[in-house]
Amino acid sequence: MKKQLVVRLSSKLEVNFHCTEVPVTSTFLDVPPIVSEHNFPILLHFQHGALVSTLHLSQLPDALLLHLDHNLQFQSATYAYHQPKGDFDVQSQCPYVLIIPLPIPFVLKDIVSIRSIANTETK
Amino acid sequence: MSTTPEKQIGFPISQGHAEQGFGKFPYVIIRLQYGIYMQFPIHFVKDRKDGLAGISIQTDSSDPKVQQALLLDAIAQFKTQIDKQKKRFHRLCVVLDKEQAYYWEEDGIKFSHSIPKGGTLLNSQQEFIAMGFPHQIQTQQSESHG
Repeated sequence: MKKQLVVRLSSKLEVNFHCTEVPVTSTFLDVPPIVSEHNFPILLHFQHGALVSTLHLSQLPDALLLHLDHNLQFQSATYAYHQPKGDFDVQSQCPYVLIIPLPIPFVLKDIVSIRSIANTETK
Repeated sequence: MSTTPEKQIGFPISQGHAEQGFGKFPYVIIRLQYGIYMQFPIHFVKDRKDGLAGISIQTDSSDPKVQQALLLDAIAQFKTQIDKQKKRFHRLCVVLDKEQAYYWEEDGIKFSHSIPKGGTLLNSQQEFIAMGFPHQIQTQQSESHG
């Protein structure tokens, strides 16, 4: 399912990301195959009900993970850089994780809000 | 029957223009009209420098992540300036690499995997930079500064 997320910055600029929303019912998720299938940007929606999700990021192209709460408000971020080899996992306590490719052309601390515009298409 | 490969029409970015920063990520492209684009190289500089073609962004940092994070604000200022000067909305984008660009549309800035390519590429003096070729320098691994 496609979803449009609008990231509003303190400069009042708004950046639109047309994402694929991926529902996740498991507490462990191998992220690179999902990115290969859908391409960036991706919005992971954890629906398992547990407190923590583990995201396996090995061999993920350089990306930024924005951890978002139920209202899509920005809580924290993970930079996944240059890790073609070896294992790399992160854990998230958030129900949503927005994954966008690096580099990003704005400063994270400038994010004021993130909102969703109605689904634009179904897949 | 000819055995020579079919001649390519057009020309890529020259060495001279590359030395001025053209064709190196990140850069700004303004769409002037269908198939005609203008490129502005982006330079990250510690101190103001005269004579650089394109857009200069002042920063003390030499870290590409820090430099690239300054792009949207700087390009927004640049766009406000040129929109005001020419009294019209310019369709432009900042191109970060071969698969990433942020487009300024009437209804906001949009991320896209598609970047402008081909057509006729001009500099701000309306000199030809490239024609019918990609807007970036073609090396094994495209050069990038910043």
